[in-house]
Amino acid sequence: MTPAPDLDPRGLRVSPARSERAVPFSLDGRELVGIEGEPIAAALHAQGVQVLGRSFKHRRPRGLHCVADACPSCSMQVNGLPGVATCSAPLRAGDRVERPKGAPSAEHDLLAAADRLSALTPVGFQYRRLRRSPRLFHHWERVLARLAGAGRPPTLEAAGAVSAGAGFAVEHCDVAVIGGGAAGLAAATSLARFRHRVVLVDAGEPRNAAASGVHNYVSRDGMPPAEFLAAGRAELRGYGAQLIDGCVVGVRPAPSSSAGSRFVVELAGGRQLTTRRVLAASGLVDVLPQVAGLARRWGHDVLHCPYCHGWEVRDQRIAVLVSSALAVHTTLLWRQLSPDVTLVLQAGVEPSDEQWERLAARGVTVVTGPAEEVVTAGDRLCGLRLAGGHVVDCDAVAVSTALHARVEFLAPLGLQPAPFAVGDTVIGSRVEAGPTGLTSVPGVYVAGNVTDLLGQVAGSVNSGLVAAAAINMSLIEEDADAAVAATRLAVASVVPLPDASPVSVFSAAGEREVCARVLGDRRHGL
Amino acid sequence: MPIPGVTARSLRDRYDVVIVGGGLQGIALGYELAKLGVADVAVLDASWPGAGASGRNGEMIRSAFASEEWCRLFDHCLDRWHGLSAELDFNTLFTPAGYAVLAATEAEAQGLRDQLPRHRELGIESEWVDAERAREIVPAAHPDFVRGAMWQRRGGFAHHDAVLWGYARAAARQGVEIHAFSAVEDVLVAGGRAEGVVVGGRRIGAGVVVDCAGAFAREVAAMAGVALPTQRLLLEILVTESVQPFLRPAVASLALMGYCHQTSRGEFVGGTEWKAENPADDMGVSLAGLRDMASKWVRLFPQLAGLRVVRHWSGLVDHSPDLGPVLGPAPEVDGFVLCCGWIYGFMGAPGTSELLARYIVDGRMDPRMAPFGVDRLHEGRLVHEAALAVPAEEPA
Repeated sequence: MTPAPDLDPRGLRVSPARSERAVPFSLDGRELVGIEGEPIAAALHAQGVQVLGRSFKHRRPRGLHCVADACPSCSMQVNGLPGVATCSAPLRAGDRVERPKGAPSAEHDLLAAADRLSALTPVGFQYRRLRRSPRLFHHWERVLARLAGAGRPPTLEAAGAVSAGAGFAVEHCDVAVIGGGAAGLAAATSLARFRHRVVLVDAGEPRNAAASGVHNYVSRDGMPPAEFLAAGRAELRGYGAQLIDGCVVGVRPAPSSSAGSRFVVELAGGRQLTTRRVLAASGLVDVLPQVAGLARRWGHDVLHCPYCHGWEVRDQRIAVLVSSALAVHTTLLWRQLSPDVTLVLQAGVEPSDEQWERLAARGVTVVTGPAEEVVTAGDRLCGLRLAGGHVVDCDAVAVSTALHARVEFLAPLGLQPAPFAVGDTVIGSRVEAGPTGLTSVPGVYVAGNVTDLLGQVAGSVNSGLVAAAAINMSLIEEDADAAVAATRLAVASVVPLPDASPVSVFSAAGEREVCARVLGDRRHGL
Repeated sequence: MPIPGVTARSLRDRYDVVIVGGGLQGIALGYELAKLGVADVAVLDASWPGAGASGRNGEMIRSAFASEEWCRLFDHCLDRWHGLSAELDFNTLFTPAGYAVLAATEAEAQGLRDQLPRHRELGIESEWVDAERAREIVPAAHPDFVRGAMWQRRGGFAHHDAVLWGYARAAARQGVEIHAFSAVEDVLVAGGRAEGVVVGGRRIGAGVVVDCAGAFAREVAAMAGVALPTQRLLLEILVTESVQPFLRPAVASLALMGYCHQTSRGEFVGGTEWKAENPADDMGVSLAGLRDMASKWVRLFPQLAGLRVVRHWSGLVDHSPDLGPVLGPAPEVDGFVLCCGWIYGFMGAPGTSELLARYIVDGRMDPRMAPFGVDRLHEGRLVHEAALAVPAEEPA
């Protein structure tokens, strides 16, 4: 949490407690002394400086006029920012105050001779010249522009301070959904239909990119993943949500000054979003066993999930690469799909007696690895070479990948994936969350493979919808709380209540007070 | 205060040409007709001249587009811009400070570079400038958004009110009547021919009726029984307090879908387009629009974070399916001419009004205008223009 700044560089400063402390400041580089906290223009007046700037057209001197921050007459450049109303901005030690330069100085400007000729210079005269030559006019215009600008452009440092203080150099949304897969799209669409401002950021690396089609999804069987995602994006856009193709590099708590926003989502390239809720639906990465050639065939004939790809390799010769006791069990799933299954035992795996018996009973061949290389013929896998040189002939290789949630960007919030085990076997890491996807950080939710490593597409959709409903409810509750607080504040400012403790709008005390004020002696007794 | 060029006379019963809509298109067309000797022209506006998009646009001018059709039409317009102040004897404040279309990614850069051969072939002045040179042209911009630029030296911007006033005065001098607060209630059609309009219950006869009604062109066309497949859309824009120059040329960023410039009075003026569709009937502004503009412009020009927004307004455009204008005769009704579908109507007015006036006077359809007939929209022969800073559907 950053402490609230004690000044807003735009001049809307909170006046410090009155002091009689003399502090140094500068005007156009000249060192002066003023009283801390008094208006800058007052400090200048005390030093005999009354000309605060020059008007554009006639170069007339400008000075204090309305003294209510409602006119531009006392506008000056303070600490690199133009347009500061010096009639009300309090002086602080070291303030650098500047006026637009005159020639030779702002106080004695030779161009003020224009004022003498004002009878001859009607409104807009500067711009009426040179209409027959746009090129000459353009040069003349550059002179005019120097004189016209009410100040210099802000310095980068001054502008940066304003951005940081106000938090407006960023885009804002209610929910930032990170990841545009099934879970993210489902959640974002549901939230957009509830009229929340939703931004979905997608890095364009879907886990199932290599697969030929989506399965086990009623009505969408066999749809290519790219088509599935494109349809989802089009639907989402139809509800007015914003899609950003980009990569999130970090999510961190928002500075306290960003009203309502709790998180800042940083994208590669520097773009930032502030948001009230974050949903991480960025999926997982499959880490393949270290066998040469495996990665190249991934998604084609190197497969990890019998539910997703089993039917497609039914009755083919399948080699199952087993590197954990759990995978011995998985072998029986593949055996359901094909009679020709060979189990390749990787180093360190020893099936139990019971497992040997079950494998034998189902006619699974078991060979001892480790596997060294995938053998291909043309664009087709045809075998798996073992360490001894023996080649297991097969049409497909089934592997168990390590499944790791892709959530490095949550680290600044202190959220790390935790190891996830099935039985005694650790199969990867996931972000732990409650049944609605809420993590240990309030306001941060997860959905899909980030938290459910074994979820399929349809399951991820559901997981997204559940998280979306939870987020929706929490936003609605928060808005209602804010509305109640605002109403109470509004009432309290009209009717000061005797007790400063939190009061209900409709409290008996409040009613009594209103009644007394409105009806006076005619009030009815309660 | 009298509005420049607006007539104090009352409407007569008949004109050779009645132009519906007193925006820049309508008034410029009136002026061009008078130049060709057809001075018996009335320009009718429902409110005051320039109350619509003509007084609300981003004022930017270029001709280096991607398609041959756009390039040809708008290059003619650009030529006209360069001599316009002299011709109208009124300073339109046209500033040929150049027009840079910024590329933020290699894909955007490639897309822009691909346009160069077409520009060469058509004789359009343009050049591709690399990141280093582009950053010299727009030194205040964040380098991330400047990986190169399509740079058109002859492009620039003008002051929309000055342009309108210049045209209105020049048109009025030649006898064109501009009537403010004269809403057209109906278009009279008999025997498949436009015969006039109804204003305040009065029938005003006309040999030719031209639909220059901007965002309301579809409604006016419907009065004549002409179907116009366009849609009214709302665009928003903002202006900051004035500071000394930090940005010289007109700048468009494809990545931000925005366009901006700094006027010689020092204000930064910039609009972004952030919704593929934003239909509207009134000219309201939205916090979401302001937020989009403010956040994008601060990203492009980080210094702007220290400047205040002075005003934020909106305008309505007539959006055709291919974003191009609709010019020429309406096939259903003789004597009813269309000058609608304008999104780039400000920069397009000086050239198109000239071509359209010539068509109205002697029936000659200029080849630069011909591709933009309304038939193309009905028959699905859209003009594909890729170099527009507007939201497009995501490619499949």
